Amino acid sequence: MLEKFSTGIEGLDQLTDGGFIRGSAYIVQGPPGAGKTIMANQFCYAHVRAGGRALYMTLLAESSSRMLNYVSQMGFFEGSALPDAMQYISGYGVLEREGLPGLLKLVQHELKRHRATAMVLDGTFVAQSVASEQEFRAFIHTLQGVAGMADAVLVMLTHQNRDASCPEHTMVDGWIEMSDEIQGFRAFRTIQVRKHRGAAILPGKHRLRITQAGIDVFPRAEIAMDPNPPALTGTDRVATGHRGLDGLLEGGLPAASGTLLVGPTGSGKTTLGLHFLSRSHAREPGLMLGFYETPAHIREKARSLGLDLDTPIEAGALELSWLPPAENIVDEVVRDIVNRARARNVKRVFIDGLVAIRDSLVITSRMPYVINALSMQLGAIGATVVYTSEIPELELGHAMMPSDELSAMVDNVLLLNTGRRDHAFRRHLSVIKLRDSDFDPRTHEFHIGPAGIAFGPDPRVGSSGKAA
Amino acid sequence: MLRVLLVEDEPDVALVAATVLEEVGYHVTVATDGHEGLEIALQEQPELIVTDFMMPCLSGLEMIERLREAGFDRPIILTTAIPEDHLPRHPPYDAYLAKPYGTRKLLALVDAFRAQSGVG
Repeated sequence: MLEKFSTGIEGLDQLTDGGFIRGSAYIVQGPPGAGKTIMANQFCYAHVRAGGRALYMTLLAESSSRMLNYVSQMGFFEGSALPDAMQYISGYGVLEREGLPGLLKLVQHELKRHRATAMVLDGTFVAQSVASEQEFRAFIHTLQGVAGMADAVLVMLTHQNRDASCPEHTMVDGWIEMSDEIQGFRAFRTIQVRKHRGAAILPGKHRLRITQAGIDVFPRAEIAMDPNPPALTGTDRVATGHRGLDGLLEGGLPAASGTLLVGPTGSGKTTLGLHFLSRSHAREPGLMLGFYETPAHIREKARSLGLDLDTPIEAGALELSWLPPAENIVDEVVRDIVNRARARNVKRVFIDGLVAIRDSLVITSRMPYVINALSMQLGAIGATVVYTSEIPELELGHAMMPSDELSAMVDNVLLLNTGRRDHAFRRHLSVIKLRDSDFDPRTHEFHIGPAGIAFGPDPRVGSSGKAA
Repeated sequence: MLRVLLVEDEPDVALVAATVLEEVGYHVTVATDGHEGLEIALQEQPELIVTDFMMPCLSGLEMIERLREAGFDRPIILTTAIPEDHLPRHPPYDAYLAKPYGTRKLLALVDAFRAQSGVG
């Protein structure tokens, strides 16, 4: 069994199948500003906190005390680790005077002197600049051997953009690439584990965020989550919070399923979602994530519809959360929802506004896979999920099926339609798809009144459309 | 002329500090690690040592301890990014200078020791 050291970053531990392998050498590559230094420091302090000893050697001419000054402001910094368990030293002078052979001796000597079990070599490209390609290859090879002999993890940082065929990449045990990318006006950071011997990695690029707390990595939801969650079986139904709709659904929504409410603006999607949440109670806790209305607005809206969210909220059975829709990291949003739902054993989840999730995705074609992963993970803890998605206004009387993409994301689809007929604005509800179940296929007119959704035409217009 | 030994493994810090001290008339010798610093200090007996803490081969603190054991009793300034409250309570050095430091702070400290030493 290979012994692994946590990288100090939960998401990176997931990508690397548990962290860095003891006795192995890694290259972390990326342009300036991609987060290499913070990542390496975060690793060192996590390692020290876990009882290890770390050494940070820089080959850069600039002062590491300036870097340390900055790092000391970060959440992961542990001042008490200095200078015993964690040390910063410069190898630049030795490299300049004695070249690669001198640097190798220094690394060996310092690993031993500090009894370090983790070492960072910052500015590895400087070592390459003083040697031929052949000498550099031999240096990396020996360095890897040194790390192995010392039974330590060696992390080499470089900003060079060297491709996969470079000898150092073939020699080292792991290769991680960090990048800073631009799409239109949008800037985002990514991390990719290109190689990791002896571990099953989560491949491809993943988003990361740098804050004062350090680096947080968000593995792509569709590949990071449990690929084999418990199968969604059983015939249990979960009340929608509207008795008439439960009748159309043979008793309610299938338990632990995902339901999409599609319809144009003003069609009653959020209102139906609030009906669903109003049934939250201690044994069926609820959770809402909204993007366009704050929790205060939602509570006010529910009150005006005669739906009681205040009681479950005050009893701790319902949590309303809100995220502004701009440039969220979707994988972070998904992780957060699943964690919140797990923490409270939530059974009713309402996510209002899938468009905000889609628009936050850098690659929008990921959308069905992300939502599918989210539904599966929530379903695995027994949560029934209701999503809303806006579509353009439809002409009444025309059947509309959501796209294959939308349909594939969820188990159930309800269409809430609006339009003008007989001089009146009318709403209609149809069940389009219901997981493994029969349902009432008819379209039902409904209106929204002081008690929320009510089937039948608005009493003010009557069935003819003229004032009743 | 006051002879200062500067022990510093970070080349840019060593360059700037040595230049600033030399410009105002100090005679500066630079060592790049604690081991080299120890050898030079014992051999040349400088009037003042300015040393970094975390360095290859021998740390600044280890170097100071060995110097004190060897009877070196001249003033020593320790410069480090390590917060002072994480350093020994009864330090074998005479002053602490937090890194990164400005050259004015360094000069003020060195000037103060020069005044005490009476060396011109």
